Amino acid sequence: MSPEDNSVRTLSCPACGGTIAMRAAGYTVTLACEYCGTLIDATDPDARIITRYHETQASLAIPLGTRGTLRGVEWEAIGWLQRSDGWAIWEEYLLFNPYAGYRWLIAQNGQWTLGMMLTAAPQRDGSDMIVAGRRFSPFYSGNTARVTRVAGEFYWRVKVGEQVRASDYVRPGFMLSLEQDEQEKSWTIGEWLAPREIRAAFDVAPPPMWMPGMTPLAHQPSPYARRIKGWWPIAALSFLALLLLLTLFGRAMQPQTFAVTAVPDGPAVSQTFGPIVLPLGRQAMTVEATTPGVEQGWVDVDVAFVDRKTQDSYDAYALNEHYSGRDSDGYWSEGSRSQTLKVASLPAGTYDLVVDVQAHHWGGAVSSVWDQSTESEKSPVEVVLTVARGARFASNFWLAVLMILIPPLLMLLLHILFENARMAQKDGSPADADDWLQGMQSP
Amino acid sequence: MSRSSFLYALWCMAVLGLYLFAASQGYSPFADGGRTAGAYRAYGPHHK
Repeated sequence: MSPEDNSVRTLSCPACGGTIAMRAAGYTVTLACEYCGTLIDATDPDARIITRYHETQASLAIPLGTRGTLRGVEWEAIGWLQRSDGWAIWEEYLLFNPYAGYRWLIAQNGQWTLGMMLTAAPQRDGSDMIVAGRRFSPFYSGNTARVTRVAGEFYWRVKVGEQVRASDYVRPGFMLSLEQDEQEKSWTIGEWLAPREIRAAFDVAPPPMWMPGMTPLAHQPSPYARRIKGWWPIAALSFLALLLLLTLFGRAMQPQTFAVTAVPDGPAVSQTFGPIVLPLGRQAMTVEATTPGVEQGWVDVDVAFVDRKTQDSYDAYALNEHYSGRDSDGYWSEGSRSQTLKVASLPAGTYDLVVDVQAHHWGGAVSSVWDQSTESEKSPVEVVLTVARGARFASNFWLAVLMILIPPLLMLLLHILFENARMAQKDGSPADADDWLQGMQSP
Repeated sequence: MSRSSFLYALWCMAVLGLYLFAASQGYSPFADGGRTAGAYRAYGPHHK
């Protein structure tokens, strides 16, 4: 900007004597002293005082005169004002480039927005507004924004206390603002700036990471939506990989079958089978215990793999039972005659399979008539055990799926909380699922 | 790939690695082994 450096003029504040630079000489109408806040008529060769103030000016995040490049244009911060609508306070920096004109850099809650005044009114569609094909939904309406502090130079007669009626329309990442007073209406479109972008341009402090309890900007995009969208293909790929691993590992192999017989309410039967040789590392074992003849009773099946060398025992238990009868609703039955046991992580070795079986007949009173169709209640019950190397644990699979989904689910929860906090500022109804989905849209 | 996506991909790979390790060792925290000791056994029909 060397050519326009020559156009920077300096003058002394007629109130406090401070040296004031006029960076947009020829365009500037009002000049606010950076030191005392006094408003000076920049169009008057004698620098006439418009309003005299004696207040210490705020320490600005972007000192006036700072230059920074945003969107390929080098801007200079020439004016600053603070505004409030009664419950929120924000700051607006006036940026100037002699070729590109003016822009607004708006700071609120540590977030930054680049604003550009529109030269034509947006198109109305119902309650929405459309600018360059982009639809904006109403958010605030009828607020009164008041200038509370001012410094630097401006292209209009700004003064503390100046008020405008403001209405805002938003879409993710953008805000369309209407400001009007008795004389004029002006439309400004603002684009939320990513922390990295504003920091690179003006070296301002990065905004705080949004956490539940904080109030986001009305048009601030959800920081979690981008993550969710970036993560779901990774989650899908991981799910497919898990399915593949589930298919490849844990297949039951080399089944061996053993049988034990026990009489209901008779003595416990203990029998040892083997050897069962496990040649490799650690592996799971699958035991399917089937009692096809159990009726009106149950069978306790205790199995133990006992290492012949160390006598370490790996135990499991199955309860097979079956009951049936007839009542006013007709026939009923319950229980299962088969159980599958999975014993985890048996070290390599030679094992005996020790099986303890005890069969029982149910003698308790029930309010229905027993099914007497079978006379097998007291007949010996055969327990068939099918033992195979390897086991497929569905619980491991679902646990892994849960662990893969926990981070995206957490992000989804934060996204919903973010959108709820954002939409809580909106006029009208609170946020719903449509708003959460809309918040997922890219700016 | 963003940093958060990269970290999430690392997380998923760690989960897959754990699953693979558990599968190769025949391990599951929900296996039946050891259930006998102190297990509660309820017998009889629930039908009323």
